[in-house]
Amino acid sequence: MRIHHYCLLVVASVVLVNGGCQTSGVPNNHPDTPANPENSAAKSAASAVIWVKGMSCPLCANNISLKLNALPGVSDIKVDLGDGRVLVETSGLNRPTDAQLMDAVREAGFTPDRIEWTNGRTTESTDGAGRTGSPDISMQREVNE
Amino acid sequence: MIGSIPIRQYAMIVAWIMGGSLGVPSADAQEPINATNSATAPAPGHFILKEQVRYNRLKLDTGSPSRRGDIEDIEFLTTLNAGVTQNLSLSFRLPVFLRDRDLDRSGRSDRDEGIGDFTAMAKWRVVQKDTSALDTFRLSLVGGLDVRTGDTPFTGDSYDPLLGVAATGIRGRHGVNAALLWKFTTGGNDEPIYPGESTADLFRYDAAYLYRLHPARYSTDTHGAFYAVIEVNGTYETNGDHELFIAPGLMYEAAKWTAELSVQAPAWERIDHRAEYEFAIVAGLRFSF
Repeated sequence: MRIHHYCLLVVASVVLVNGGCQTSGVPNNHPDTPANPENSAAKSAASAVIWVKGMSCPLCANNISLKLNALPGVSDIKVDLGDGRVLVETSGLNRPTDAQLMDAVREAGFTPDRIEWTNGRTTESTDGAGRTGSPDISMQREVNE
Repeated sequence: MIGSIPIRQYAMIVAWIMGGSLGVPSADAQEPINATNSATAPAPGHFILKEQVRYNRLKLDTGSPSRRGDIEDIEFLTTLNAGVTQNLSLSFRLPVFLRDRDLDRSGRSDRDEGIGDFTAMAKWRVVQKDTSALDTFRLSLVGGLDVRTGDTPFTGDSYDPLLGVAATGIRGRHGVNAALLWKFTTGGNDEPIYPGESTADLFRYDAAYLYRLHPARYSTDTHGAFYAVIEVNGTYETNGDHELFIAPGLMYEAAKWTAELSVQAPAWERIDHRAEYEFAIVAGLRFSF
């Protein structure tokens, strides 16, 4: 293989990367988001906080966003790396289950600790690491507020 | 010249590719700049493309007198990491060299370009201990194959199995990486320049410390982080050649890309069978998609 062929391959791969990234963006304008008042499904919007362990870098936040955004009914993700807190906004009738959310976190390479829904329901992770680790007291207080 | 493309044009093309890619959404978490491995990996179905440009300056004082002299290589190193399952990832690496040589005996210079050995590796994470929001420890086993390209003199000209282990620990603003890799050489190049190109087995050992310079504390507004990196990179070959490098560097990691810069200088050398490093400068970008 000559060098200019290699160069063309690199150019082609970067173009593919760009195209792939553009199609996998965060769906901030999800049709079911509460921003669209005419959408009846928006009325069923809910949010959950997933407490995650091992997210140590900005890239980690991106990995977890990509995985969670691929789930049905997820309309927005906000990641607080400092506290290990991932806010998941959902809308529509087809919401992700707790198991789907936790599996997405594990697939992204991290350990889910627990999920807290805005209705007060909490699901603890069955992960060994999740059971043994206890969340920081200040984090707990913030959620309760 | 590289085929029909002059070196300068080729360098500009790569710079354009790397610079242009900065504008797209699209990195390997806290992986050191020069080390061969870390215990981090992309998620299943996701990829990390890593482009490094290395300026390597070496001195060849062994072998045929007609070959001895100074060597300047510009190396374009492309690595693609692919997440396969939660604990398994694959990586593929291909180096391209542009070489300038100043030969001591004849006093003349020559230029050459070519493609080095292709490396395919699998990484299997065997330990993951996430102990708090930020803190983690991960251990991975790595195995793979160095595949000859036949492009003399840039190829090791053999198919060489690789086996190693990598560990990554992160606690708050501090990150530590360690990696060991053994290359079982089955053939080799008669006139090696780099470690691992001869018929001797190669043992690579790397250690790195990363310190998050900014921000001191992560928040929801964190979109990137600056790290100071100090690495120790060693190569030992079973023919007795041994080289140890110190490599300070800087890294900026955003959500979808990472930029890195490092200088690698030999701290200790005992080389009798190939070229000795004088120094290397490394600039790189990684994109996650």
